[in-house]
Amino acid sequence: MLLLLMAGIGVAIYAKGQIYDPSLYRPELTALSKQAPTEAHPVESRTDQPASAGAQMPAPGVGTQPASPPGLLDNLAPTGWKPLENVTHFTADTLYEKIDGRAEEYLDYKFVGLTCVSLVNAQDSKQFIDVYLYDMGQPAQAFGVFSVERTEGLPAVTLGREGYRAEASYFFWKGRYYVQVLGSGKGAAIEQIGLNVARTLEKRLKDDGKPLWGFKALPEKDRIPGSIQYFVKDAMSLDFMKETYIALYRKGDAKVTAFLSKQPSGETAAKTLASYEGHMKKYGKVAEKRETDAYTLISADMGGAFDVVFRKGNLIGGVSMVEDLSMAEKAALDMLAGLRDKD
Amino acid sequence: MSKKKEGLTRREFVQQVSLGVAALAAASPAQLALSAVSTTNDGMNYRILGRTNLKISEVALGAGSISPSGANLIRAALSQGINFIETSSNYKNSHVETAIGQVVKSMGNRDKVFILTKAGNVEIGRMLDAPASEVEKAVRAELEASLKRLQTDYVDVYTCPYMAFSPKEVTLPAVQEALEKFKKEGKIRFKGLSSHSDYANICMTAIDGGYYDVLQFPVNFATVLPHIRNAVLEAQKAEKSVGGSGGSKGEAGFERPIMDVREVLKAAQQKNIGVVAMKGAQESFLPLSMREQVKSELAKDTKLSWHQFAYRFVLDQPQVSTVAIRMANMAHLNEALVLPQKTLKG
Repeated sequence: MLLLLMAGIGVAIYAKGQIYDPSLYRPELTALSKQAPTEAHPVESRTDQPASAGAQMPAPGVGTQPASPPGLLDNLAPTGWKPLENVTHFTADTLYEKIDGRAEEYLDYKFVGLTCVSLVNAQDSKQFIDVYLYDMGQPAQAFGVFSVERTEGLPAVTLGREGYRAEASYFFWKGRYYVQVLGSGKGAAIEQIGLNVARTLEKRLKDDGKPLWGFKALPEKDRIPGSIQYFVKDAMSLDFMKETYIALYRKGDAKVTAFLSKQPSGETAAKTLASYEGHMKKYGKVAEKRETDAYTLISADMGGAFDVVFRKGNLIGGVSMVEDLSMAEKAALDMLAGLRDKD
Repeated sequence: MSKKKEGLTRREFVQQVSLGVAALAAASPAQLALSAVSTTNDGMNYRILGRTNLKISEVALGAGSISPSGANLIRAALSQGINFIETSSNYKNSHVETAIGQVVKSMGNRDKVFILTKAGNVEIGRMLDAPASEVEKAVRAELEASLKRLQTDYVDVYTCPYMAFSPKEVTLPAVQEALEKFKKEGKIRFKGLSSHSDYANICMTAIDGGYYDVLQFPVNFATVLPHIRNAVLEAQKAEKSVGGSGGSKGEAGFERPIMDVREVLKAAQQKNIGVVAMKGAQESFLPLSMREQVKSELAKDTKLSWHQFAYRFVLDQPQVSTVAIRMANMAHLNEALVLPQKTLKG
């Protein structure tokens, strides 16, 4: 209960950090945004390309139309509310102007465009709702950025494919979109208004409804609801683990982190497995390598926590940072047995 | 970038760099870092963090880019000799602190790991006129939440204000009173300040007033070497004069001020204040187009990658206690771990 409370406070603080009282802070924030990027996510592109280079987007800048259909944020204000200003658009090149310090994460997920609007209570300008509509190009990418920003323990809300609430703020993804509806303050009234705005927007967003591969492939048994995450790169901080789904499984009293990635081919999977084995040897000690006709499985002591990785065809999966070796191996074998990849 | 503009920038740049090579050569032969207190253990060097007397690894795990599933990286870094973690309450929506807490707890080595975290969600600049009780309440809530996520009773260095924008934030009595209270309560060991906006003035204010034990600010080619700073500023000017954005795009772009921190470094050393260097390799301080030129001028035929080269340069500044290197994956860690054994040439 305490953990839930702390998680709630955490997200509330986070949301609070993003939102503002437009009547008091807007000019200051604009200035801060341009002058002083946060150090929270220092942008030190590790490649020789600018952080936004991968997005392949023209750079029309603020005020021009984004790639997503226009009008999605028009007429969102509920009765008694009004837009504070015109809808604004940001591209990969200008995203930092809006969410300085956090843009890189979105760019990693192949961000296409951000459309925003601020709604204020016509009677009380301190009450506001900020709407952020992120066009992530593909459903997996929308889910991915949603999943890595999600804080454990917050109440789920039936919004889009998956959503949750923190005070009067709502977060969900649907189709290619990740949406944040950030309401000011707390209380039933503003929560309801925020929810109404979120629902209105949700209905406007298209979604083919096809389940994401990871949801189909990861075993369901023991999986903790809402725990799936999708990483475009650097899953578990391993540079060779790309396009990977991660989920938490309950094994007795413990939570086990499991991962699964579908590689383009068996050959690529073999290379990834070799990279994983190299990592295990460098930072830990390989305990066992088992090769059967159906799979290859390697377990390792990573210095008091245990990793088990397997390759089955073009799939790479396993468990990471488990406190007990036998539990890690059992969890990995359970996972192997429960794989549901039918593609 | 137009060909003409590129040529102009390059020519001007090379001229200025050439003038400065001699200065650099005089400044950093034979590893200036050796003049700092430094000991070696299993390939990692350790320095004293100013008056805190903490013996910290000269390579710090900059945790801002660690993913929620990044326990692997934290564990590997700590097992390879890194003992200083630079994080913040708002990194990755607080997930980073949670991951650090889990790893340190499971490794059972809290007393051997030094954690710097920041009041990342408290904007002191907006509380300059607030009652002291409100400031304390806000910072305390932030600190308590960090302690909970980090699964610890204390942090070694607590940074507040985080990302200070003006000297007023540094001298605000309410902040100092709150931090002193937290120290007495045993929740923080030392006080830290970070800034990358007007940081030279802000840090000098902090040093002169003796408010802080640890300072974190940008230390890199452009903030330490005048000829490079001038070249970058000239390049910015050239970019802007032809309607460009002024250099690299992406967050921060060219808008971040490039200030001379040599006096700050000197003053910090004199007052025995710990220096955590940041932005060591950031492109907003040295655009991509200038990287190879700097490398070739300052350490021809260097075998280091750009990031290694840039961070090695930072470590060659004797006043620097540690350099916070942002690491998102094992490849970054591997690159950083060899730095203590390298020189600018490789």
